[in-house]
Amino acid sequence: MKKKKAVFMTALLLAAVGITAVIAMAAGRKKEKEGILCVTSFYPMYLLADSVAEGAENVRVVNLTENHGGCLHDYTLTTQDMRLLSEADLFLINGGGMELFLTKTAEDYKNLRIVDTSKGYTFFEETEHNHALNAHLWLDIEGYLLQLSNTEEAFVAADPSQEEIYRKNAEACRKELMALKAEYDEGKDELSGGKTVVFHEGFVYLFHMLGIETIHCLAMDSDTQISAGEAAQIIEECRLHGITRLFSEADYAQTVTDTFAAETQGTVFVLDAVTGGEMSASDKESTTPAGVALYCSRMRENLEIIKRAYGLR
Amino acid sequence: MDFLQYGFMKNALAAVCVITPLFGILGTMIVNNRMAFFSDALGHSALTGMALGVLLGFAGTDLPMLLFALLFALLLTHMKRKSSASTDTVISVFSSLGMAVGLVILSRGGNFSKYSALLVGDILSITTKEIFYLVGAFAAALLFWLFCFNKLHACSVNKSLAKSKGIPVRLMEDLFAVLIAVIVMLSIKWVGILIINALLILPAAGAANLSSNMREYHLFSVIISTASGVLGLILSYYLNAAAGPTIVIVAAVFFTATFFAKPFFRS
Repeated sequence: MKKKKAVFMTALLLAAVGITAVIAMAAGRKKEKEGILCVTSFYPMYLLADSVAEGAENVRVVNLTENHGGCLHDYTLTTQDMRLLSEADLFLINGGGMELFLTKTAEDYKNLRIVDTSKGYTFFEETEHNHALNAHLWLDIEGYLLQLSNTEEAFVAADPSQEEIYRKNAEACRKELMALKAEYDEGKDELSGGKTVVFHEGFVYLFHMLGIETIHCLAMDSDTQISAGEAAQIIEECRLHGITRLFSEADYAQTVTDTFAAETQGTVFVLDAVTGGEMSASDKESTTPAGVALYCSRMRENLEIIKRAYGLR
Repeated sequence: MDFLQYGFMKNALAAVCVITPLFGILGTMIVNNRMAFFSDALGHSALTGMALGVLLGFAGTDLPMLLFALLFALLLTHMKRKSSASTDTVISVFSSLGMAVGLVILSRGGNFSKYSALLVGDILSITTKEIFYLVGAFAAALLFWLFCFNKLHACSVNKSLAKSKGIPVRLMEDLFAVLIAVIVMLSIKWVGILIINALLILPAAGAANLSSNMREYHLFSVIISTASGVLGLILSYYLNAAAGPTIVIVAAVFFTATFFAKPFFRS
């Protein structure tokens, strides 16, 4: 009997090792280690890096979070991510505390060039009580312009041989973003002075550009359970300020925002925080590099929705 | 073997080679003493330990987690002895309370996302220093196993009989509870609250399917546990999956195989 068991255990172990080896061989990747590998932490960074590097030779831009929607708050690195980072030449991050997983990463990869694209930006704080930074600066067009410049410099420093391409792409992006900013400035003239409640931290920046005061921001983008007390407080504030327009993000729990809308007799409008999605054919055909073209078209749609919400169109 | 060229995989592999045999040994004792839910409750209490650390302004959360787990484990064993309610009810109460208090404190101001990594664990973030802690815990568990296993086993078979033989039942139970608390807290950040118990129980349960004596039981448990750990880690690397859960799935496959092989060895 003992012998039988030993044989069984050995066979079981061998089978397990064999299966693992087969999977390892099937999944083993060939190294594509040519040129520059730029890894971005998440979608808005990816759009920028992809735009700046458009048309450059031997440059690969890979997004760590695979264009999934949502912000990075609770992201943990997988083995594949760690491997990707260990092969990367350049790692572009949003900064402002968005990449919580990064403290460890920076220690592990001392040779990796990590570029904080928000360097030089003055963030808002999340709330009066909580002094963490509101890291969603890409929804402030001036913030995104700064991120563009930092991305451009990072590419030029990493690969000076193609400086001309990077500068040209960045200039085209800058021009388009400035045009977008002008449209928002126009919107500000019409919308300024309004008040609202938003369900995504990034929208604080968006409405700030339009001169609309955010009375309350409920951060639905982190996996938050709203306490009953907080919900009551928000409803009271809405009633007090006569707020009937609430803005939420498509990715996050619609039922919660609907509850608020019902309580305050308000309407919920859904905006896009530009944290995911595929580039469309029109973005790719645009004269502006595709990533930034996508950003601008999404931001224009947001402006339209806000104007409509305030009865301007 | 290309995974060994990365520092994080080397560290993870070293950690797995220390944690999993330890879990194999500890698991057999946990299953013997019918304490599966106990270790689960301890895992849940990690959230409260961490929350108290944050609340009291500790620099790191490791120490408050460990201290709270020790307190929690001793209190739980005490309540188990005193309470007239059945053991699983008492443990359930403690387990849910440990989780709930932690959640209430940590989710204040919508900040739970900072701590949610604790739920699934992150074996890739292990550092060399932490591996040494694990080696220390491993040595302590081994000493306990060498010197106290027979006594603890006697307690699990029949407490009155053990007492009559002069075995300090209460001390044994408390020591064992403390040992589980220390090891669960040392490994929870890498294994995760949701699955730590699976790693403790599955190898022992798989080994129980095959073994007919204590020696086989422990040997098989350590083999299954270590093999699941190493193979699970390698698989997670190639399949781009979270490491902890992959290890648990491999352990579950081992359990299933031994489960179906069981009648064959009985006859």
